[in-house]
Amino acid sequence: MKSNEYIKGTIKTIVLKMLSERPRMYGYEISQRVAELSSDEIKLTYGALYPILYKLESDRLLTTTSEIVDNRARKYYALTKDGKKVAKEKISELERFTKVLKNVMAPDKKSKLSLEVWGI
Amino acid sequence: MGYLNSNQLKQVEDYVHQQEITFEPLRAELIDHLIGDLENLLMQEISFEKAWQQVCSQIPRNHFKTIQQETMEGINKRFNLSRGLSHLALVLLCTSAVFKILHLPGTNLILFSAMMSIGGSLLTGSLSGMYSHGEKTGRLLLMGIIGGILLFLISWFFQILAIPGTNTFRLLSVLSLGILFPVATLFFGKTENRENSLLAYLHKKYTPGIERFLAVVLVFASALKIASMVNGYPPSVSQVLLVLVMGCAGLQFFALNWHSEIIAEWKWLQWLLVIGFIAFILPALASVIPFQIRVILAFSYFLIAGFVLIIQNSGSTANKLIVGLVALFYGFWMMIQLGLLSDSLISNLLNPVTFLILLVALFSNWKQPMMKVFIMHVIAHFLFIYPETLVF
Repeated sequence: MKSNEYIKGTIKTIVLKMLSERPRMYGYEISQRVAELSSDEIKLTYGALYPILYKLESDRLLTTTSEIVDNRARKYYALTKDGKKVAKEKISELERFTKVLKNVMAPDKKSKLSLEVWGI
Repeated sequence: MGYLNSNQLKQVEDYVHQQEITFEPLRAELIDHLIGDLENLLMQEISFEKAWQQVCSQIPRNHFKTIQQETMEGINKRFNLSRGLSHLALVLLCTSAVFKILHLPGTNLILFSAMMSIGGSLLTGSLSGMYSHGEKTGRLLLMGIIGGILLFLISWFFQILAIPGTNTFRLLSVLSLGILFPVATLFFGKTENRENSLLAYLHKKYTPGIERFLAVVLVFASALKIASMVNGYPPSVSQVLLVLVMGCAGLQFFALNWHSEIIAEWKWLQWLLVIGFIAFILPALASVIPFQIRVILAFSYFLIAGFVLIIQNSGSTANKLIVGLVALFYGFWMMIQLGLLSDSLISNLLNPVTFLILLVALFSNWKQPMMKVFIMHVIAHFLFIYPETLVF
C-alpha cells in the first residue's frame, strides 16, 4: 500500500487478530501472514511490529515462550485471557469502523436523488 | 528451514550487533526475523549475497536503534517504580558520599535510604515481572537470589556502621547465593528455553539498567578515590562504593553467562563457572576465611573469569592480551600478598599506566557486555587495593 498512514492506527488490532486465529505465532510469521492475507498490500516492518508486540506483552495481553529452532532463539507470542477479550473488542471496533468508513466513502445516492428532483 | 550456513548466520548476527541493539530479547528476535526474510528469498533461488543486499537495503539507517528506543519506551512505562528507585539509589549513594566528605550530619541515614532503594528496586522489578509474566517459571529461584542480594546489602550496611549481626547476614547471603547461582548456571546449561525462566528473562530485560548503574557508581567512586589520594578525603567513602561495584559486577558477569549458548554445549564450562562463582563469593566471608585463602580465591576468580572470556570468544586478540595481562597482574598481586614477593614491587603493579590501560580496555569493549563488566570489576578492585601512599 502506498500510504502507511491508514495502517498505523490499526497495527495493534491486526496483530491481535492474527494471534486470535492461531494458538501462537512468532514475529516473522505474523508479518508473513499479514502480507499473505493482504496480497502484499500491508507490510509490517520491523519498526511497526516489534514495539507493538513488546507493548502488548508489557500490558499483559500477550504471553511469550521461547524455543531453539535451527540453532537460534525463537520467541512465540500467544494471547492471554485478557488479550483474547481485548482482541475481540478491538476487532469488532475496527469492523464497525470500516463499515462506517465504507458508508462515508460511498457515493451519496440520496443527495443525488434530491438533486434530480430539482431537475439538476 | 535452516538454509543459512554458520558463516552467513554470523554475518546476520554481526550486522544486528553493529546496529547497537543492547536489549537482548529484541536482538534475538530481529536476528530471527532477518534470517526468516533471507531464507524466504533463498527459497526463490536468489543467491545469499543478493538476498542480503535486498534485505539490508530495506532497512533504513538507525532503524533498529529507533525500534529499540520505541520498544523500551513501551516497556519502561510498566517498570517505572523499579527504575525510579534505582535512580533514587544512585542519587542517594552519591549524596551520602558528599555528606561524608563534608562531615555533614545524616550520612548514615542517606546511605541506609540508598540501600533501601536498591533493595526496593530489585524487589519491585522482580515482583512486577512475576505479575506480568505469570506463565514463566522459576519464581522461587528468582526470589531466592534477590533475597541473597538483599541479605548481602544488609550485612554490608551493618558492616559500615559496625552494627552487630554483620557476620550472620553475610553468612546467610553467601550461603544462599553460593547455592542458587551455581544451581541457576547448571539449570540454564541444561535447558533450551531460558526465556521461559523468569530469572533469565528479567535479567536480560534489566541488563542495560544494571550496566548503567554500574558505570555511574564506578565513575563516581573512581573520582572519589582519586580525590581522596590527592586531597586527603577519607578513603572509606570511595571504598564503600567500590565494594558495591565489585559485588554487582561479579554477579553480573556470572549472570551474563546464563544466556551463553556455549555453556549449553560444554558441561565442563558450567562446572568451571560454578567453581569461579564460589571463588568469587567466598572472600566476602572475611571473618571466617583467612586472608591468604581469600587472596588465592580472588586470584582464582579473576583467572577463571578471564579464561571463560577467552572461551566465550567475546573478543579480539587485543582482548585476549588484556585478559592475559589481568591474569599476570593478579598472579603478581597474589604473590605479594602471600609474602612470596617483596612489598616494594606493589608500585610496579599499581600505577597510573596500568589504570590507563584498564580504562582504554573498558572503553574499547563498551559494546561487549561480558568483557565490559569484567574490566569494570578489575578497575574497581584495582582502585580498592590502590594504597593511599601511592599517589598519581
